[in-house]
Amino acid sequence: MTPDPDDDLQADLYVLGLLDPAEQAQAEQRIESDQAFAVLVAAAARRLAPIDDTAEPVPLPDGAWERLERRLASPVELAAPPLRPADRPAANLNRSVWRMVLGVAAALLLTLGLAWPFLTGLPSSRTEPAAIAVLLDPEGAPFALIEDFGGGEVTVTTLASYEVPAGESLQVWTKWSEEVGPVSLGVLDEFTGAPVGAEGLPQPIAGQLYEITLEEEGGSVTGRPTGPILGVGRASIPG
Amino acid sequence: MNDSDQRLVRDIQSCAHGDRSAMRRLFDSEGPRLMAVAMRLVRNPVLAEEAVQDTLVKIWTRAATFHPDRGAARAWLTMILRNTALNILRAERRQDHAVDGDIETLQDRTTVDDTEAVLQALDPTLRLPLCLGALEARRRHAILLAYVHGYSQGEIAGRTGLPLGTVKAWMRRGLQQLRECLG
Repeated sequence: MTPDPDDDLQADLYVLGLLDPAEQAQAEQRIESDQAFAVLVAAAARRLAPIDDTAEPVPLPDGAWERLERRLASPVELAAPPLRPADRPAANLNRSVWRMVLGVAAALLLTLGLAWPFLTGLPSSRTEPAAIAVLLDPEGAPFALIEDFGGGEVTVTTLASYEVPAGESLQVWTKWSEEVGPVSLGVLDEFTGAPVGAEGLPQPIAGQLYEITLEEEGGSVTGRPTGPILGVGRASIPG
Repeated sequence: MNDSDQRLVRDIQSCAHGDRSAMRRLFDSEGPRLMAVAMRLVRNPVLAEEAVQDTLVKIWTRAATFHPDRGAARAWLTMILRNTALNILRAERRQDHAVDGDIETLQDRTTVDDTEAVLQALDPTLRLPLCLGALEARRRHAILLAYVHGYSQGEIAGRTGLPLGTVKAWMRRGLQQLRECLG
């Protein structure tokens, strides 16, 4: 493809932060949808990046770590929207489907939430989940749905297929506080919908983390996730 | 990837697991560098810390979407930081405009004549200092004011006393030369 010389300039101006708001919005949209342009932006960023290395390191102000820690523990922060296109490296094009996938995930969540009593075929007297989370795989595609009914009762519904390698297991985790850290909800030998859970868990909260990792057979011996994350998501409270 | 890059990738992956000690290591190892870049852009320690904090929170919540094989970790962090800081700068600029309509308010608080020092400080084994050095001084100055300090073209015009159209033309020509030189 013949590169448009004007696109080179637009990419440079975008990296320099010199586009006017309308052009900037357009550039961000193109980074999402136009791979050739995204590559130009990444190249422009790479060309100029050595300039950042000339800055003499500046210590952060006193208390900066404590302020950051407070933010990391805040459910508001944890439920933060995904990175805007402009915040992501343009070369990572596969991630540009993020926004779309999140839209799909949100719609899915809504549908499942609304249709839940019908889908499960359970008597409507059964309690609705106290929290649901769509776990996305590293590419941003839906991987599993978590429904947390509170009291340690959790179900996993698969939204993708995954073959567990021989000698390994899947492990489901949740984390609601930094102090407690990740807690295992159970080990799955194959990726099928299954109830999992643990005794004595608190009521789920918005933003609570759920993830499924690949661990050695029978689950992580350290009691903490050690393997790659296959799906991760944060809880929404229905209704 | 060198050792420090590998450590960084590991720490980002651990952040995806919610490992706060990994974030602490990231804060310690990358924080001062990010703060330095942010300070050059927003030139205010409170706003610079805000940019760094916003960046690290984004990394904390989005670490699972980072793949070490795609783009260097440090470049990823810097890209997020730069965009965050530029957005803060734009918001500040809008506020300044709302107050007194003076294009120069934000940037004029400090004098910025360090663009030649930036050129001198560039890693001499790279092609970039050579190519920047080959530019006409005024074009180089304009590009560096924008990249290093987040100046808008209007601010550069205000600072140099030149018409906006002239600044835009320099910028275009300078960037094109730079691209050709860096090939």
